[in-house]
Amino acid sequence: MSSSAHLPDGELRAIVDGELPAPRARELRQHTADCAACAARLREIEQDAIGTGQLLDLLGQPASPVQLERVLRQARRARTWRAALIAASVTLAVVSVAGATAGRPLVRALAGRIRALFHPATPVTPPTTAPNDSMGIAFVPGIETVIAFDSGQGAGLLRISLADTAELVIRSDAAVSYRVHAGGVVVHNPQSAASYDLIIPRALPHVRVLVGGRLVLEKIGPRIVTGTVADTEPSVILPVR
Amino acid sequence: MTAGFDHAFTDLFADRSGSLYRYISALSGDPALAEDIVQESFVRLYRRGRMPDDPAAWLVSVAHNLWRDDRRRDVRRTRLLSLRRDELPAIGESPATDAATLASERMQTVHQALARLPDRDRRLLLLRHSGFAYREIAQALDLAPGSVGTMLVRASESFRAAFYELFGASA
Repeated sequence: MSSSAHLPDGELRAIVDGELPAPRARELRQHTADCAACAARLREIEQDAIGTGQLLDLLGQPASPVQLERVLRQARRARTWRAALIAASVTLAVVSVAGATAGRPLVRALAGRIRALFHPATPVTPPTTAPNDSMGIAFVPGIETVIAFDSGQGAGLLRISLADTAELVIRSDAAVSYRVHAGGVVVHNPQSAASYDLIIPRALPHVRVLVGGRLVLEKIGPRIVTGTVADTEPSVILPVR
Repeated sequence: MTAGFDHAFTDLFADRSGSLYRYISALSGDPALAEDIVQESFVRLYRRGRMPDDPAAWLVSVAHNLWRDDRRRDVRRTRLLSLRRDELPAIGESPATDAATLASERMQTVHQALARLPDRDRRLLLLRHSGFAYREIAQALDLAPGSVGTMLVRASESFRAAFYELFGASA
């Protein structure tokens, strides 16, 4: 990159949002370190993004009342009925022919199959949330990691620190459930007042911490952003709310 | 329906139902409607039986279409909501505390400032604020992925300018 060419606003905003691949972000950070105009514009865009976020926070950050179990029940019910209607139409035609040729046993068997479609014997599969009540969890995270606490808490603190480890570690002082998935971990904590120690591998390029769906902290490269404060301090303490 | 799909669906729900709900809730100003729309969006995805290329963007598109259909279908309710907004007590007449009044006034001003933006900018800001990634926003709004950052800068500046103009005028 030519040092005389200033960075476009879009890329500066992408730095702020942690939306650039790590090598590109490093390259642009190097440029802003050497170019006062770009550094000033980056600060301006960062302040604007934070200010906009604070204003939009006034709309509230409600937790979603939609429940997975309800969604699955409704989806499966609709699918069962649709399948049943199709199957019933087809089977009715078969029964009409079979009834005339093979008599009642076959008709009864087919009727049983129709009933099974309307009242499936297989129970509805529970969601695979794999709850695992535990005082902590450790796993090797992907390069984009989200740590999502299901909900805010009336009490409890989240102590976040960086360490030169490969594993991301969460420890709590009370039993909560963790579910690790490809994109990070979900901490199931409704009605909890637990406090947590969160140790993030320093080398991890992008980590977001959500509480009740609200972004409370973002680690972008070596920087930790907590809404209003951006620094490179080794640890941060936040309320879990 | 495969176990793999069920697992991916469960993960997607855990990761995205909250952000989708907040997005539709902020866009519509109607939490009950947002709940219905998010539920229906996920039901449709489950019935689809396989994951789209970009599930989050797919959900946003479906949810937005449902919201648009609802607005078209239910003009009467929109009017009732407008009426209720007009009937809110004027600032200064409210028995609420000064701090609560100020917060309420600021929230109303946020709504008004958002309403001043073009539809695409409003959705852009709310999607980003709800936690969607540039790639997902680009796909949901049919934008070039490389243009999301630039458009966010402009939308953000317009929004704050509108807010402070309105808030200054009402203060």
